[in-house]
Amino acid sequence: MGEANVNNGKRRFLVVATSVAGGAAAVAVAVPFVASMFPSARAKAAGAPVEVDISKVEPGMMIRAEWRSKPVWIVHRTSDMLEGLKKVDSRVADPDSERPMQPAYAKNEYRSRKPEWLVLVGICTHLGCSPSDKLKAGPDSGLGEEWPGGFFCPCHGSKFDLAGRVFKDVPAPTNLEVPKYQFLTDTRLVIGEDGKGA
Amino acid sequence: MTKGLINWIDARFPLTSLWKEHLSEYYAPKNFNFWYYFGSLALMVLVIQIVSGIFLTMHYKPDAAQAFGSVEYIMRDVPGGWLIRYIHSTGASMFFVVVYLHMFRGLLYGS
Repeated sequence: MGEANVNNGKRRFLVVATSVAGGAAAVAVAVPFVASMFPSARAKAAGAPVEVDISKVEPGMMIRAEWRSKPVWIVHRTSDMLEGLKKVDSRVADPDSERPMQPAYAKNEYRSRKPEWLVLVGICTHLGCSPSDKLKAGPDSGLGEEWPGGFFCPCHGSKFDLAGRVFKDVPAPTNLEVPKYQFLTDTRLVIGEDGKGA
Repeated sequence: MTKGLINWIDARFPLTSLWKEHLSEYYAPKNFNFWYYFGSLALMVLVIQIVSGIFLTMHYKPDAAQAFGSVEYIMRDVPGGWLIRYIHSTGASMFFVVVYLHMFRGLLYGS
């Protein structure tokens, strides 16, 4: 077949049809391969929000929950504890939570959505130990007369107050992290979700 | 626009002439029949095996204690993982089919 006898319309149609079919096939093949790189069902389950029942937490008590393999503390603060926070403003490094260690709704003097409920990721911001709770103020804590109540990290001696704010002159550089959370009801709390996407 | 792009590439790399020389205008004897398909099919299956294998290694754990669990994970939890694993296992079987036919062609025609 010489060049003179070429049916150009037919040739163009065949080229375009082949390209479209080939492109569609390439996209169809790419779908499972791209999908396999998205988070798996197991990864989604491991990162899922956690629901906690806080109805039995008396004022002054604290419970622990697990979220994304991390300890989460839920403290029911008394009004005395909340009053005491103002007194330590001068002793903590970041009293107004200027550094982004909390969601916007926890950037207030109590670092929480509801003043009495404190929710914190219980991991020291220094080297990742879990501090122990020393909620009671005074010398009974073993931390001296001046201790206002809070958390003490036994690894390197970092101290945090009852809003998770780090004291000055300790190894930890920032306040404890506040995770995303919201109250489903007055007695049920969900950690890892705040109604604005996970 | 396509023409412009191809000209831009051709000025830097001989794409059009390479394509013509090795694929579209490759000189092949007229007596080739379907037995001669299996060489290029073997190449295609090899590429499929490499690509699907790379994606499987992203989730597989080559450890006696963890291998079985990681295969279960691929089949149940990884999105599209079951399909990629079946592509890889069926591809392995097809590789044998295609390569034996390719070898048989070699015995049959001495080439």
